[in-house]
Amino acid sequence: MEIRDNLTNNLVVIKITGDVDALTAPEITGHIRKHIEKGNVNLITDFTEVLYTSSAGLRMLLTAVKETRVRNGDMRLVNVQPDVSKVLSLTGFNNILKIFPDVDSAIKSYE
Amino acid sequence: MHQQIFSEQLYLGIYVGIIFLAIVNNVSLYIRTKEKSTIYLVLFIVIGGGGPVFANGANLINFWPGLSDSAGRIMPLLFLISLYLIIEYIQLFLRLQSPENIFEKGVLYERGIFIIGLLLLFFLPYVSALKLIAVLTIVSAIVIFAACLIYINKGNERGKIIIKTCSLLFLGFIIFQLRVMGYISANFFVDRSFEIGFLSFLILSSVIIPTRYREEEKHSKHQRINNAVKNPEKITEGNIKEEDEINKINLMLVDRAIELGSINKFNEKINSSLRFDEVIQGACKELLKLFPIDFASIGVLSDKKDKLTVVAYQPLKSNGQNAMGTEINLASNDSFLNKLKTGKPFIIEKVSKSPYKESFVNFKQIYERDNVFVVPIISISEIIGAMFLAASDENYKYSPSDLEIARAVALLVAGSVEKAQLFSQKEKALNVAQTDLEIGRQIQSGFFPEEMLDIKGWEVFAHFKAARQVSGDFYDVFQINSSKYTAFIIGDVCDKGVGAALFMVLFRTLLRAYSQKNETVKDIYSLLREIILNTNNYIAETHYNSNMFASIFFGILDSDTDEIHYVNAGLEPPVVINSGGDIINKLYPTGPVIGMFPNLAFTVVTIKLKPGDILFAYTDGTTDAKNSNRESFSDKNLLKTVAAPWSSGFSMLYDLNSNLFRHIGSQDQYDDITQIAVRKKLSLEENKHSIIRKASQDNLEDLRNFIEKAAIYCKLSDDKVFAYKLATEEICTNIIKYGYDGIEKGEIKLEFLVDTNKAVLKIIDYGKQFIPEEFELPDINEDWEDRKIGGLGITLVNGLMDKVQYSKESDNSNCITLELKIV
Repeated sequence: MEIRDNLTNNLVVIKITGDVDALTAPEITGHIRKHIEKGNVNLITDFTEVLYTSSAGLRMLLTAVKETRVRNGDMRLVNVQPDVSKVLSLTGFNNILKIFPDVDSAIKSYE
Repeated sequence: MHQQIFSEQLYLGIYVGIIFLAIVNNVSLYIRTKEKSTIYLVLFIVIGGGGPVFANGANLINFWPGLSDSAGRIMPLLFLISLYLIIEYIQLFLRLQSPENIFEKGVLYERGIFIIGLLLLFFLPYVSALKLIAVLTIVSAIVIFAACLIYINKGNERGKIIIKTCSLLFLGFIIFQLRVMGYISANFFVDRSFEIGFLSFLILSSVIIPTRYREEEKHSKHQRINNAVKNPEKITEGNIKEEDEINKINLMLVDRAIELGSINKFNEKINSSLRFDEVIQGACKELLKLFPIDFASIGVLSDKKDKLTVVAYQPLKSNGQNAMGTEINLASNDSFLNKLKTGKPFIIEKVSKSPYKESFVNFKQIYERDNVFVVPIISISEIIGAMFLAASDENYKYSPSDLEIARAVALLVAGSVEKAQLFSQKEKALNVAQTDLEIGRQIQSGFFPEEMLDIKGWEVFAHFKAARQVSGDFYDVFQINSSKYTAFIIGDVCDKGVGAALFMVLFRTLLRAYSQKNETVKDIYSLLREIILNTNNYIAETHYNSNMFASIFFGILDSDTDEIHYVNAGLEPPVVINSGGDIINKLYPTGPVIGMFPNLAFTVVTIKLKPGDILFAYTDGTTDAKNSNRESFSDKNLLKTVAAPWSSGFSMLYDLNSNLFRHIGSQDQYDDITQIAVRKKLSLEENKHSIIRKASQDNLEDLRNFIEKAAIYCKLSDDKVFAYKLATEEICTNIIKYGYDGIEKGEIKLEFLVDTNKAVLKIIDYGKQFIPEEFELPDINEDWEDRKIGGLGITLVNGLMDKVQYSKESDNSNCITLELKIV
């Protein structure tokens, strides 16, 4: 798993490549927390390269959404792949998270 | 009034100043040049000029009316000295009609000052002081103004000197005027007139003379080095007669060493990279340090020799102007190319007015310049480009030594450019080679069977991982002439790399071709012997000089009789493991390696497998695999790992490789790893795979990978593979976290069964039982503020599986059954 940050229009786009599971989710949570501590509460997480997510990944997403939203921010998902999308809908996460087809539309949603 | 100003004391002051400076000057000149005439001049001045001053009261006649006795008495001597200096000056001036070098120009300035001083002494008593000083003040003011203009416009060194000199003069004359007009007490001048005369002369000279020395020094250093370089025969023992001669040569050598040092440093800098653009950019930067220039650039000659293209440039201070890619046109002007071809550096004084101006129209940074040093870059007597150096001072004269350095630098640049070009060619070649290897790997992987043959009641499973892009290992499984016979081969061609890979293809093709020769198979023993012998003879006879050979295990499975006929040509003995996990047989070599000599003897041996038996064959890549301590995986370890009851060949090879790659860790794989497992199933339909791991977070990935690979091996669809992978992670995580919470970590066993209409995964553990009825599932319709973090895994498993069942078994184990229908 790999995490890469991109700054676009003052928004942090976090691109994750690889599986988001019990082993990798804590690292992503830590990474997102660092952004929140720095005051970056409007986050975009790019899931284009994520083909697998377990409940550990869901916990990571829920934590990120809760911690950004209480600070009047948000964490929005981009380009969720079919298997991961199924995991989100089985757990009702598709109603909690704001999901966008691409990074541009996610950036626009913050304007 | 002028009687007071031009007092006797003032005369004496100026006079002593002249004598003092003349002595100091000529002595220093002698020290520097060892020119004997200067020492005679000193003697002349000391005796003729200094004598009367110190020999006060000497009996001399006062020739000068209106002056006191002692002042009048020195006048004849003053006259003599002046005469000498004036004659010398005229001589010098005649000799140097156009004063070429700074050194001699300096002498002219210096002598000029002396003469002005003397003239003042002669004629001042007769001139109205006030008028003269007024004129001199105005003249010096005009000169300062003019010099300032020149200096501001051109910024050269000479303007600075003139401003300095005239400012002092101006100040001096103003003071004189103030004195004459009565603003400064008369007594002050009368009392201090000697000192004023002496000091004013010293100050005046000190401004001009050091300039001369600076330039003289620079010049003489270059002169000496050039002489030493151009006339090396001078430095021979016979020529060195005096000690100072040796000192001189030592000095030259030191200077030369400094210059060589700077060239060497340059060389080091530009050779620190092999990339062409970095090399020439570095060269431009270093040129700025070597010469007094503010712009350096390098142009490379085009193949057609019709233009130079600027490939690097470096201004001293960046002004944002880009010169990269600028073209210096040579087509319109043959003379410029011809001038370059001479290989000699040259100077273009005013580019925009030079005969080459048309070539430089596009090159803004050079076109406007007045002093551009052009150094051709020559490689093997071919011109390949040129360096263009624009001097900061338009009047800067490049010394012969500068030319030598420039040529040396051009040679270094040529060498580096060539090296960089070669390097880029090598890089390109390397890229091509790598692409070729990758293509080779792809072609070679086409030689491995894409899918294992489906043999009723049998499982054949192979694992292969190449150490490099192409490999010398191979395996093959194929049916012999649509018969009941299935051939399985595992082989290791000696050596590694491309050569081994080519022979691997040859071996594999020969073995396959000889296997398919006969229409019907009557005698399987003879056929097998024939296949091996023909292959052996072909390699040994046709490729005798290549000295290539292979160790091969060739087995033929008869699914009717459960017999395996085999030839082991020099491979590590494969083992047979029974359903209980015991090694019951080792299949030692029945012949030598294939391909060494023709007509060797290979024996065919037959064994019979019972249900649950596995024949496991491998190449030495498995046992030789090294960990970070350079320890091999070893035969012993291998046999220990495989000697276990296995539910399938797949399970065995998964477990073995999971152990093997844990051993290798982050090390590079040492050799190709190839393994094959042939198993007689317990029943015709049996399709069960299992693995046991300790319940620890470290094994979570291994467990999940096993299910993923097993599901793919059983040809489940992608969404089912995903579902099982996810369910395994969720349930195993719960077992590790809660099932074995507070008690000793036990085992987790995965059992995966696939039949025609369903897939079943059983996850078995011995920890605390999970009772789903007692567990409250999260409400998936709650909004984010109220969402609980727990229970998501179970929700997912329930959502993904067709059937989930929790049970307590008779041996007190917990079993979770996860079922998916296959339609």
